Amino acid sequence: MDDRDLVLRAQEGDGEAYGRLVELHQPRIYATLAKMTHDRDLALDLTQEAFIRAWEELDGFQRRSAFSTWLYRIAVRLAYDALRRERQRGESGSTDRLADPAPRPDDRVAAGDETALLRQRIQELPEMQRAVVTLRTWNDLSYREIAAILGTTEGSARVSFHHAITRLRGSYESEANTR
Amino acid sequence: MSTAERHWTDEEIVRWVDERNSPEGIRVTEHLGRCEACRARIAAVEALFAALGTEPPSTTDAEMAAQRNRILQAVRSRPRVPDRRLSRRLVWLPAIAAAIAALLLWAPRWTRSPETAPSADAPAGGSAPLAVVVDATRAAEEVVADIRLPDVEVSTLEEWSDSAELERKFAELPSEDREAILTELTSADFNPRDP
Repeated sequence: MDDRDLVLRAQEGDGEAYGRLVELHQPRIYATLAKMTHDRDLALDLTQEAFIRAWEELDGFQRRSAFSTWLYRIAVRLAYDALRRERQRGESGSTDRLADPAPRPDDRVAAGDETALLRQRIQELPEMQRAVVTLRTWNDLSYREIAAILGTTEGSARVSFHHAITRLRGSYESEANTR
Repeated sequence: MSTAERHWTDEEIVRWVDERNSPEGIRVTEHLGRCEACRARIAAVEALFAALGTEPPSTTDAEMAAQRNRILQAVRSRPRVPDRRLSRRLVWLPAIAAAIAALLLWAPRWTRSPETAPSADAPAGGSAPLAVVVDATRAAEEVVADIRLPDVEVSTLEEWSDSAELERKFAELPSEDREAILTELTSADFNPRDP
């Protein structure tokens, strides 16, 4: 049974069919959220929230796009909200786990951790660029799919990606050269 | 330096690694075979892509299974939200039909080209009330089909076949709704006189 059949059955109230949809899409949704937030626990929380919200709004899904596209859209919006909250907490000096994930990126950069350096640079990207980078480089989605998820055009998604890569590349190389 | 000999721009480098494509195609690719500097820049971007594609923090199968259970428990206790978009459209349907009638009453005089041949079952110009009602019903059906309202019966539309009633309903709408409807209808690609 494919996504379409499962969605139809779930829309009729079949919890088992929805359970199967969760099973099929949970790993990719979690991984996408983990890549976007760089926070394992937060990504798990958001994954759960995404599937519950998708269930609540399932009647509004009209099957014009793939179920996965619609689900990614919900997940990415949740990630945006979480990242915004994280930034606001950071600005207000809060010390909870979102604002202060340990160890801090700069500490790891000092220890020569290039992955941490890159992660830090990604966290500095605007939300849209961060989402596009994740969906393109890790999920390997086409620009058409990314545009559908983010509610933008293919051209805009492509431009966002190129800007993000140029920005990451510039900061990544210049920092690496100074070490 | 010819186009084939110039160094790649940053955008071309990223595009090449991302899509194995470049705006200038083979001429730029020829340059790559001869230019060590551009090859090094490509290698740096490829390394960046590889770093971006690394696996995220992993979870265990047990954690994922436990999460599925929590999701399904939550789902059982939560009702689904009715499709508000559908309800909203249903509310608008009389207004849409009314707007179509209004358009058919007035718009033909403004927009219909003189060379358009009138159909056999309706008088030219769209001014006769009966033709207006027929056109409005047909056009409303098309709008309904276009916005995908499968639950709406054609008989429902026929209940609105009184053009005066349609006009009255349309006139009662808030001005911003009337404008929104007219914008939607005038952007819709339909000709109510086509079969």
